[in-house]
Amino acid sequence: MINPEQTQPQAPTATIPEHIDAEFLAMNQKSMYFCQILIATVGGSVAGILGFSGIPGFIFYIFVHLVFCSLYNLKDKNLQQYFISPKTMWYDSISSGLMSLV
Amino acid sequence: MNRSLSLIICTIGIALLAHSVLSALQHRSYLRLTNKSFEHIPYDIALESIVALLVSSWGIINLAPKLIPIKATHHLSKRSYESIDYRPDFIQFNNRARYLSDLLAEPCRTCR
Repeated sequence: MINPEQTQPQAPTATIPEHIDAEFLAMNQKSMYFCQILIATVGGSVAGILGFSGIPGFIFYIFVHLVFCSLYNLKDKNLQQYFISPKTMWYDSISSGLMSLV
Repeated sequence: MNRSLSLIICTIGIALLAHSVLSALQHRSYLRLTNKSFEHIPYDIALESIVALLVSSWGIINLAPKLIPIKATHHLSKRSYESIDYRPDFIQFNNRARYLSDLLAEPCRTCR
């Protein structure tokens, strides 16, 4: 006999996984690297004007990177829908750009 | 932001950078003429170059190609179900309509 008070178990909501389009992700990364390279070029010329080299140049490189990241986050408020993990841009590209600095 | 406006901002930033470069060169030549030693760049030139860096960065960021949402549902939601599920390889023409066409008032043209 069916108990009328017994309720059917509800299916868990939002079981559809998020699918990510790799092509558009690669296009977004390309756009970000475009910005990064051009800003690094301008920052390098500014460092040349100011006469930074050695340790102050390294500090200035980190400053330019922080300027790039903050302006990029300022332009697009929700980067979550354009990149998988937008917070990695704060520390991910420092190590790759360090090779060109040395 | 408009693309032409961001191009103008980028140009202004690069012009400020070029001006600060020229000012720094002039300062160096002035020091050489007056036989003074170089200690540091004047603060107005340094400030101008940093402002140029900020302005040109903002222009470059707005000039970059537009970002596209990466979620697959964002693009697939705009397409109709028929366009996604359209599989012409699985269409069958060898069906019962051939025999039904005699009963119809107007014969089926595609089945004959």
